[in-house]
Amino acid sequence: MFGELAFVTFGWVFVELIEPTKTRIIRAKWATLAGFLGTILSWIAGGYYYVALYPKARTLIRGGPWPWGHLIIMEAKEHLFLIGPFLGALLLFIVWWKGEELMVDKDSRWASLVLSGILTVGAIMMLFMGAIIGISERVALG
Amino acid sequence: MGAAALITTIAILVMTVGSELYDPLKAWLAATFGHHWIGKGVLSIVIFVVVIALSYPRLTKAERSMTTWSNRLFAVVVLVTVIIIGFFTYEFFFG
Repeated sequence: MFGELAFVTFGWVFVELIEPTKTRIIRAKWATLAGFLGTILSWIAGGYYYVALYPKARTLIRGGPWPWGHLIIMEAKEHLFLIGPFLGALLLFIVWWKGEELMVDKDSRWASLVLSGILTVGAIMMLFMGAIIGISERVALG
Repeated sequence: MGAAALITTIAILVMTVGSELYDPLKAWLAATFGHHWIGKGVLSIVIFVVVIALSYPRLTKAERSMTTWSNRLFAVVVLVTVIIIGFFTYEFFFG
């Protein structure tokens, strides 16, 4: 759920900053804050799931017909996820620090677009990988 | 902060591949932090904060192009993503 929040908000920031105005920058500021909080909350909630609840599913998936659901997808997902909160913090900092300067400062606007673009694609990847892991578990259950 | 994000991303790659190839590192992370993944997360936060603290005085003195470092960060994130997925794929088929 928090992953979806991050995806929507970072995508929203990207769109707002393509041609920023004062109003769009205000919206982008709050969207970066919501996106950053989304990454932190998904780190906590997803971390709890991964450490406390997932081991049962891991055993099931590894013994099932799609063991790569854990051995490739989950292994990659759990580590790639760690990059997101730091990029989110950086985007939050730039958008709040530069504020209305983003309308004229092409340099910082480009950096914000690159970061929000990476975070949007990254969030989609996390959601897609999570879906594959879920299917791997269902396939193992038969 | 751009440098901190870039170095933290590389550190995550090193910890990920390093702990898979060198079992004592994974065991140390698990023993110290309760779980190897929590260990990697905590160390990433520490690295991020330390690099910000160390690079802040230099950043305030010199004007740097955000376009340059954001493009570098983009390239590093893409590369790290490809390496991590490639590494676990290789491990699955040939490890």
